[in-house]
Amino acid sequence: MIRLDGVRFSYTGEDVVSDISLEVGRGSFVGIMGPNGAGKTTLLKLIAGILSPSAGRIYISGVDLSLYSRRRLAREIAFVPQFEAIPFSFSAWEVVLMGRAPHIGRFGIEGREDIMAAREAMLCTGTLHLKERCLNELSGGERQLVLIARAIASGSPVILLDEPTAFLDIKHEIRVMDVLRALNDGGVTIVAAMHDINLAVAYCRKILLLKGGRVFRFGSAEEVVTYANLREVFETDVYVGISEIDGRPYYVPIRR
Amino acid sequence: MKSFSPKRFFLINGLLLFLLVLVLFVSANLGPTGLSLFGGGRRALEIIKTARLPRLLAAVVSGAALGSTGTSFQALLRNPLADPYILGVSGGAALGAVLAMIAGLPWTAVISVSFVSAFLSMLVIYWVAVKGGRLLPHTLLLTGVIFNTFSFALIMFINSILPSPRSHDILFLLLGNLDVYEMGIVGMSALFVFVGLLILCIYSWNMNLLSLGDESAASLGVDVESTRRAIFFTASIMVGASVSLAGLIGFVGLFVPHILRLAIGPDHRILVPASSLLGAISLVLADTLVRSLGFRWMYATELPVGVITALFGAPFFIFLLKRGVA
Repeated sequence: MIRLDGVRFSYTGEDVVSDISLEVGRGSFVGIMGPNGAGKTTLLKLIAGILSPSAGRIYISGVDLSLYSRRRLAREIAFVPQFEAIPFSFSAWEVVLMGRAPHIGRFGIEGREDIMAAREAMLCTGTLHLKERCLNELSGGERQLVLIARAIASGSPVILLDEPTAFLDIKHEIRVMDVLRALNDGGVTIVAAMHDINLAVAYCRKILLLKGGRVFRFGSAEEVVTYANLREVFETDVYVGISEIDGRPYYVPIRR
Repeated sequence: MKSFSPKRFFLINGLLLFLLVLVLFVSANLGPTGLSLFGGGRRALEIIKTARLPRLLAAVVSGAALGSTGTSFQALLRNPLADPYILGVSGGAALGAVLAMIAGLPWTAVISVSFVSAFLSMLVIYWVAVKGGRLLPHTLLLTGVIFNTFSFALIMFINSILPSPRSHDILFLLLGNLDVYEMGIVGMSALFVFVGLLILCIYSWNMNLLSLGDESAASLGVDVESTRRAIFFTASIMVGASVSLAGLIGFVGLFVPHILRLAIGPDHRILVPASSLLGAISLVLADTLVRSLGFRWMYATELPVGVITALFGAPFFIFLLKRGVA
C-alpha cells in the first residue's frame, strides 16, 4: 500500500527524516512513536504529499507519489493534521462535506452521493448530532471526531493522523481510538503519530519507533515496546511491564 | 446556518441583485437638479444619461470590487480583519494617481497612470513576498502593510511640499469619490472588475478549503500555491481598478464581508458574489446620500463618498458587534 524507499527530507540543510525505507501493508494500523523532533510529523506529511522528499521515493499502491496529481492523491490518502484554528464559523457539517473535495468538480457543488457519504461519516464517528454546531465551538474531542469524519467522508483507503489524541481526556482518547480501530477493521489503512505509548500498544497493529529521523524499530508492540528500546530512544528510564489483562507491554514513568 | 445549495445561491444573490436594481433606479432619479424620469422629459433623460449614469456605474463597479476582494483577501490571509487595501496595491494606485495629478495630466490619464501603478505595485509586492515559490499569508500581509506605509509616506511628502489648493485635491482623492463623467473609463474598470469577479467565483470553493488550513486544503486536493497566486493577482487587479477609478473608499470592503457572514454564513461560494452585490448596493446608497447632502449643505464641494461609508458603516458595525452577533 505505502512503500518508502530511502526517503530523506530536510527543511534547512539538516535532515529531519534521513534514509527511511519501510512498507505499510493494506489494512495495517501503524502507530508512529518517538521523541519530539524525531520526524513523526514530517514523515506523515511526506506520505500525504504535502512535503516532497529531497531524496528517495514514496510509492502509493505501487505508483510513485510524485506522479499523482493533488486530487488523485487526495482520493488515496486522507490527512488529519494537528489542531489548526479555522478563521470562519463553518459548521461541523460543512467541514465534513469539504472532505468530499477530491470527488467534487471545479465549482464545488455537492451531489446526493457526497451528502450521503458525509452523513455516513458523521454517523460512524457519532457526531451527527453536532451537525449544525460551529466547528470552533466544539470541545477538543468532538472537534477531533468531526475531523476524522471529514477524512472518512473522502472515502480514501488510507487515513494519516498527526497525534489524534493530543489534549484529549481519556474518554475522548478512547472514543477516537475506537473509531479508528473500527475503521481499520473495515479495511482502512491507518497511520498515526502517537505520544501515548500505552494507547498505541492497545490499538495499533504495528509500531514504528523513530529516532533522529531514522527507523529505530518497526514491528509488533511486543517487539518494539521494551525497556531497552524506550530507554535508548527517549533517553529516559521508564518501567516497562507486561499487562496481566492482555499480555501486552505497558509503560509507567519513573520519578528521578 | 443552512448549508450550500444552488437554490440558496440563486435565492440570496437574486434578492441582492433585485435590491441593487431597485437602489439604482431610485438613485438615478435623485440629484441636485431635482429632475427625474417622472415628468422630467427629454432634459431629465439627458442629465441621467450623461451625469448620473456614469457615476452610478462607477459606484457599482467600485463597490462590487471592494466587497468581493475584501471577502477574498480575508480568505486568502485567513484573517477576518483583512480588507481590500491591506496588501498594498491601493497604496501604489494612490501614489500613481497623486504623481499623475501633480504632473498636470488630464483626468483620464490620471486614472490610467494610477491603474498601471497599481499593477506594478502588485508585481513588486509579489516579488518581495514570495519565498521559494511560496506565498505565505503572514509574509504577504507584512509586505502589504510596509508597502502601504511607504506609499503614503511619499504621498504625504508630496502633499507637504505642494501649495494648499493642490494638497486639497490630493486629500479628496485619498478619501475616495465617484465624481466620474466619462463612460469609457468606467467601462474599462467594469471589464476588469467583472472578469475578476468571475475568476474569484470560480475559486470560491477553494477559498472554503483554504480556510481549513494549508495542510488540510492540500490533503483535500487543492493546489494551495496556485490558488493563492490566482486569488492574489485577480483581487489585486480588481482593487487597482477600483482605487484608480474612485480613490480609497474606506470600510466597504471590511464590513460587507462581515455583515454577510453573519447573515448567510461563511460559505464563499455564496459569499463572493453576494459581497460584490452588497458592496455595490452600499456604495450606490452612500453616493446617493452624498449627492443629496452635497446639494443641501454645501455649494463649493461635495463630501467625499469615503467619508460617508466610514461614517455610517462604523457605527452600524459596532451596533452589530455589541448585539453579540459578530
